[in-house]
Amino acid sequence: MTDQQTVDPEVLIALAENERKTLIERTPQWLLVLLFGAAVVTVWHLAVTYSGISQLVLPGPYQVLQDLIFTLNNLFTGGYVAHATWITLVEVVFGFLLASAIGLTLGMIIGATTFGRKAIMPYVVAINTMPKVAFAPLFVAWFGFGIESKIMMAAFISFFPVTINTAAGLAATDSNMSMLFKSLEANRWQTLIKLQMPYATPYIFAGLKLAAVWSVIGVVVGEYMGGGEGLGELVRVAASQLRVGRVFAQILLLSLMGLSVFGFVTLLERYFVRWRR
Amino acid sequence: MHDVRSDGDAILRLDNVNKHYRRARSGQADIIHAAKDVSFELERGQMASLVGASGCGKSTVLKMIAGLIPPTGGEITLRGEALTGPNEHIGIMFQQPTLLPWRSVMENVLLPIEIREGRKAANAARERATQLLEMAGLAEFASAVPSELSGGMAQRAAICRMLVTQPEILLLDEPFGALDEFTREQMNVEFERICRSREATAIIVTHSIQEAIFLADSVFVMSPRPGRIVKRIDIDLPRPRTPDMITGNRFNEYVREIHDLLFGSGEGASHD
Repeated sequence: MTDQQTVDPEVLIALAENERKTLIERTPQWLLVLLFGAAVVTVWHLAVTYSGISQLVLPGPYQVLQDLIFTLNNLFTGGYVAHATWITLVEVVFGFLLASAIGLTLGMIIGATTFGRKAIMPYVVAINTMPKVAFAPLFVAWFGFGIESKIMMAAFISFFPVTINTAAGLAATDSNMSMLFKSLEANRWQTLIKLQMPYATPYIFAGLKLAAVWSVIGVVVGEYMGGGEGLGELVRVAASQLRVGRVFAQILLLSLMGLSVFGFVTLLERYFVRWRR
Repeated sequence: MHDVRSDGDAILRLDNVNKHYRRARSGQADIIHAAKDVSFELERGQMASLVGASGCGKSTVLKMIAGLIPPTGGEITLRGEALTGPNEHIGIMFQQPTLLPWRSVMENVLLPIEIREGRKAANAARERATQLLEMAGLAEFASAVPSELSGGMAQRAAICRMLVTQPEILLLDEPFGALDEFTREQMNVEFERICRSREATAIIVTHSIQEAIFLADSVFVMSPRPGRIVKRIDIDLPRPRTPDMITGNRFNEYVREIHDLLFGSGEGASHD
């Protein structure tokens, strides 16, 4: 308190100058995002207009906007886009649920048993190093052209982060807490359910969030290879017809779908991991 | 009050307990004696402390009594029966409160009963847990989560959790070592009161000489490598212990005696 009275005024001025912010620092973020986006769109528009690039290769911003409006209009009036979005959403949700179930089970076996850690873990890691997309034609051959092959593809691509995070979370248990449970003569099951699993939930949710996004990728890959009625198929058809604007609009829908599943998992996480300040 | 020399009705007895680890380093096998020929016994209601420099094996001794690590030699007996693992009559607490952060304070206190006897028994013990929390001054925090507690409060909740199963022997591994000096002294006073009121038999591991003397009827001084008990000092101070004793002459004589045992006696040590 006495310090404040004896501070050299020159020091205060130096501090104030240090804190002087640049124009960019003072501008709110939303305005910067908007300005940068507008700049990109302007460059895009100028490039398309004056470079002579064909509209078939890269449509201008206005064309894309029209396609987006058409696609959204079709979606909300229950047209074919709505049907495709529904199909893809079902595939993504079931693919994600299947990935979560497989990932949690495998992760628990690996994280909670020595056999799993020693014998199964190497295989899981080996599978993960494979380019999983390359399996897509096989999944079509095994599970057909319906939604099953897409669900399996999505689960196959996204079970890994759940598995690894569950196993890592179970292994990360605080050693003092393990000692406490040992001193209480807790059996293996009690230790797993009352200590290791709750302790691992933040890890598990990190894996689930990755899986949510990856299952959209899996479904789209499945639809590229196996056709069907989903958004991936729409993208493939639009691209083959060189309707690039439609492709952009449909990809935007896919991205929103991934974001929704991600958001839902984040809500669940807030509920289940609320003890973690 | 207690005849600490008596060997008639010891409740806990350590008989030449050893613990060594084999450490392979550059081909040669290295044997590390964490504890060597540790023998002592405790009567019901007696409080003992194990004091020594860090790494002297005092925590190892405590963990062997708790059944968390097996001794490599010797025997530990509880009321004449050999201890071979964790035991419901023995409660332990650590330097960290180790409360499960996703459970309320009440659920944490009930955890030992829930694990040993199931959820039903735990619910039935709520009243007992409430009384313990009241005694620890945590009554209004029963439904709080651990992150809402201060360090001292969390450690008091850990004491309640240790006491809820009414164990005969309490083991405390540097229980207040992570707390600041003021809280620590306050916790010592409270803990002594709690132990007196239940005639608890307790072993406290600490590296604080003052804490060791303040809480104990007998202080066991341990030397490092190999960890063994070099001396037992019986503390002849009246109960209940009060903070002003710490500055008293008698207390300081004990401090000096233990200090000299642990660090050598200053100039006097030069002539061996």
